[in-house]
Amino acid sequence: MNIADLSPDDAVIWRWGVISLNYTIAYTWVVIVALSLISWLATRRLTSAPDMSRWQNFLEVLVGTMNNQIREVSQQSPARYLPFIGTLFLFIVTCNLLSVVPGFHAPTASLSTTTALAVCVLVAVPAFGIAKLGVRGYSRLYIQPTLLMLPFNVIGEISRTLALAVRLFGNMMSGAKIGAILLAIAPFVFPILMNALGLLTGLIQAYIFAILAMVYIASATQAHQHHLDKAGGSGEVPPPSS
Amino acid sequence: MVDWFTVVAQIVNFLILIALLRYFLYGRIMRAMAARQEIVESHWDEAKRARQAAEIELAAAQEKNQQINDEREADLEAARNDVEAQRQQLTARVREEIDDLRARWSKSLQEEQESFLRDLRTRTCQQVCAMAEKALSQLASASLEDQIIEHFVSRIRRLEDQQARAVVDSIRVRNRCVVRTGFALTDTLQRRIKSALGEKSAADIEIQFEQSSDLVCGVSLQADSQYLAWNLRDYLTSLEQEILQAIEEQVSSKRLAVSDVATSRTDP
Repeated sequence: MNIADLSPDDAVIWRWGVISLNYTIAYTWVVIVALSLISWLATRRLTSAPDMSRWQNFLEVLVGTMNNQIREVSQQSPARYLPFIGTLFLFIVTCNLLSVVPGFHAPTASLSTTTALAVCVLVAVPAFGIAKLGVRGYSRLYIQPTLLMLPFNVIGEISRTLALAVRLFGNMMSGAKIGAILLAIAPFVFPILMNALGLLTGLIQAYIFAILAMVYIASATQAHQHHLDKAGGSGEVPPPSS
Repeated sequence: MVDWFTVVAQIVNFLILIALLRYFLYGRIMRAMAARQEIVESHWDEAKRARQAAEIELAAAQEKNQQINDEREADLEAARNDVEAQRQQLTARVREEIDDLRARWSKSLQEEQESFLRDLRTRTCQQVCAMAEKALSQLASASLEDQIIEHFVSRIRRLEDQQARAVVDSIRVRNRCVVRTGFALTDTLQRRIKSALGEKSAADIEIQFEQSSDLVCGVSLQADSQYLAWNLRDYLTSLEQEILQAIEEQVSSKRLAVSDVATSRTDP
């Protein structure tokens, strides 16, 4: 077990002052390049005809499924949320799936990465909420049902973001750590099983992270809709509770 | 532990990734899907329009088909009516021809029947007369001839009928006459005739006696154009006339009956 197995943040490749290029950032770049390259290659020759490439078909299924999931959760048009939620899912799932590749250190096993993603969600929730409801409309959510609930709502907002980060980090870090430990104790068979389990866990965690982010955003953007429904406004389905 | 520089870097990285995927993936894929959706919808609309057009054409074709069927049914019905009318006309014509043939046949049969009956009654009369004549000829004898001559002479003497008087008047003018008999007159009988005629005329009368087989047991006296006779043939002729008249009446009644029956059959 080397230092990168403990945390990819600690494996520094290059450092200049406070700026340090560690495995987390480096492999994140790898993932970014891979995703961008695949996307570019697959979308170079897009066609609207029924005859399409397998990659286009795969990406259309992927994007279509994400669209449907977002629509089901938010009960809104998914176009506004697709880039953020879809990128969260694709980034996390790519990192988690590539963790089975020997020599690859999943950035999601770093608490810094999961914290960064959680911070993104923490910022995105009020951003989408304010974009949809306005500053006053969104701020009013924090004093619901009474002003006394303001601190609890703020604490809840922060704690669920913290839980989001720690949940993903814990699952991915533990998977990587167990794989490394088992490799040292029983180098045959068991690491394969644990890696297979890690694939499943990584897929589920990516789904959970994306869905929870969507639920938080939906709860922030649909409070206004729910309020309108109570007042006899439009008849959209109320959002699921977070 | 959290490396805050890494956190910031990862946030930046994530935002860059969002931008890249938004440009390379979501935008393009969503546009391609939207374009495909438009194509599918346009095809769908086109198919819907084509289907509506096809349904309209189908309805028109069905209507036309129905119209053709109706016209065909009407033509068939008219043809059936024409055939029925023609059949009835032909049947009536054939019936008329049959009735005509039957009437002609009946008339011909009736004529044949009448001809046969006429011939039969003629033959019957002739036969009866021939038989009577033969019988009378065979029965003729002196006494009968005497009786005949006696009857003839008494008729001349009494001059009861107009014919006898006309003959006597003619004899008185001409003083001659011809006496014909169906049998040979004896001298006695000739004298009795001369005597009777002499009583009626003052002058001598030239009497010529002739025998004629046409007179059956009869005697005739002819003076100029006047004629007096007693002849069995006359009786037989009158008998024949009576028989013929009786048969004719019977045939007429039967003909009437047959024509009544034919009229009742011809009438519908």
